[in-house]
Amino acid sequence: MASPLTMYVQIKQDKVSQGIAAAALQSFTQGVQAGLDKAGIVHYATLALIPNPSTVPGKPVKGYLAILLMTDFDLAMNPYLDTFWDMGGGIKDAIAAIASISFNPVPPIKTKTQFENFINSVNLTPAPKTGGWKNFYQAYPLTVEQINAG
Amino acid sequence: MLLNPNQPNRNNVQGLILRGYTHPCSCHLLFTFTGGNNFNSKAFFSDLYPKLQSAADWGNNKPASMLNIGLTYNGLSLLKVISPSDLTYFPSTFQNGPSDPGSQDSLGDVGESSPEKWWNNQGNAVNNKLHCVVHVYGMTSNDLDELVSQVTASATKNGLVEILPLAIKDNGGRLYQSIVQHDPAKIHFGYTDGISEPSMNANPSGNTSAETNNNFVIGYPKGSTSDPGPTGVDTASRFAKDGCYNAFRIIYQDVAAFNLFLKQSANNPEVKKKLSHLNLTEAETEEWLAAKLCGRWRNGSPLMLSPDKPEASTASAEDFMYGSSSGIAGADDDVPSSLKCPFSAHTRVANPRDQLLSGSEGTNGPPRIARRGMPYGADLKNGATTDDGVDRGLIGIFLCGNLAGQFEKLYSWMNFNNFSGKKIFNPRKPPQDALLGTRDLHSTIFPNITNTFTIPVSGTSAAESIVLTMPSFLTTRGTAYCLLPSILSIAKLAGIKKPKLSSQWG
Repeated sequence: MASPLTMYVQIKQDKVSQGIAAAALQSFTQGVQAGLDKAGIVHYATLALIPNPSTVPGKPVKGYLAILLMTDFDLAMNPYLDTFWDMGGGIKDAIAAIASISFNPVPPIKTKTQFENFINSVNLTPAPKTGGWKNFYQAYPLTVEQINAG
Repeated sequence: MLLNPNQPNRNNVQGLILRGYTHPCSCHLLFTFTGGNNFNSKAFFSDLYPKLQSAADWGNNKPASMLNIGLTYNGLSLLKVISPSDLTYFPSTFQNGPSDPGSQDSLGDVGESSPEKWWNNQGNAVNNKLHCVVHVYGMTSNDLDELVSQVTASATKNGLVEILPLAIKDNGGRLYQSIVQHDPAKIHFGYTDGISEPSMNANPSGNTSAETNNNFVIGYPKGSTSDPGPTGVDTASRFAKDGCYNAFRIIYQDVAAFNLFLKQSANNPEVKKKLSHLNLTEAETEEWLAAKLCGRWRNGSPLMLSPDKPEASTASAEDFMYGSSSGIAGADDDVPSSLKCPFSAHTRVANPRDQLLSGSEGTNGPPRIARRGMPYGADLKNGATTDDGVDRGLIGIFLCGNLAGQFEKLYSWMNFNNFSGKKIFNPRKPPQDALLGTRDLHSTIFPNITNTFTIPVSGTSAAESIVLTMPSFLTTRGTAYCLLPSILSIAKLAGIKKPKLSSQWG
């Protein structure tokens, strides 16, 4: 079973924060590529920006309301969040950058505990309390390693 | 000794964290803070405080009886010493507890082991209201009984309600330590336990290590690979400092099934054929198989040092490796060591030492946990292969500074041997720990696992190996995540204004 992680973080509306969000979108793949390749347990990861809602139908609004990070990685969430922290580099920096522009105050991510707690606090797809997943589908049960092993 | 800001004061750390006790008698009492009359936590902790044992050296004055105290997150929340907003600074794994699906993705408790069946089928009625565990130790059963009576009397007087984790027929439902084969170090499967422990040395220089005590004691992150938390300036962090987490896990051991498995495997024609060159008797074959399952002979001798027979000289040996000992570099470096100690042998999974780890495991090496457990329940008659109905197993006290990164990581490895990308390991059909795996072939958490255990004999191919189909010998009886707070934090709970700690550091 893979662990889906759907981080939804409402972001500040100031120019600097909006700029960080826009820059994150452009550099996300490049920033996390090496770390995720090395980890070998992530099926995919994508970053998206949620536009601010329109107040007048059909009239676009500038800026972004939130940042959305969607990924799916093998095995258990708890211990492997710890692994992502240990790997450092782009993954750790990407999460810290998202936390830094959160609309809701988040302490700077300096420890594993803060890293784990922040991610869990904004994850829209935690493991279901009872009865298995009702909002997650996967076509195959294999891990990345199993797929690559052919 | 000089004060050092990067190492805990042993006088402020609960004793079982930094040292293993050798008291032959113990009882582990579970309590809830709700459901009683006139709950008075201050009076309860005040009553217990004089017997609270720190990690300071007791020299020649070994206490006849003593205790240590753990609190679950739900318990802490009711004690009102940490503001509600600051409570959220504790790691979410601790907050949610071991029955949470996030933790179960590593622990894999299903069927008879599932959380709804824990605590003698009381399930979530206990999982959600277990607040405090008191670990009571005695040099004699009289010493123990006396202190247990004091603790339970204080609990009753102060509105706590005892939770019985076992059936009444088994020692009144309480978790009493038992002695197996007249040896306090043995567990019910006959193995000597507690040999391989992290050094727990202090880390004054802050060099990176998974072994030092700042991977277990909260508040000294420099050089720690587990980074115990919380470590801020908030009330939660102040309360947690010098504390440690305890994954308290009660595991039933089906000794009769284990004995029967060894006996049947020793008589398996395929096994006999592949071991014919060793000229072993049936009893010796059983011992050989038991050693392969564990990675150590039952006396403690590691297979890497004593591959052919147990030896007194290596019974507590720790100085060995798996990868670097072979003299072969790269992906094949574990092949020679697997001929001595199989890849999925329990002690090799729980501590793979220098074995190359997969990229997903980072670069810090294997995480470590400290074990302070002991058996419960009466011995099964020596070698019996029919169960006698007695509840027996392990009172697991697994200590760590980071429940997710240490305890749950190692448990996930035991359930899914995916942590080492070596040739001998088949990622398409990962094995499980030979002693602890779930054996649930339909698991969606651990995809495509196999319930077989491969013992390389003359080589590592299937034709050169013994392949055993493994039953499950274990059932989880219950699990709780507790914080073992510092002596000063418990003094605060007890309302003691100026507790005295001696000035010994280090």
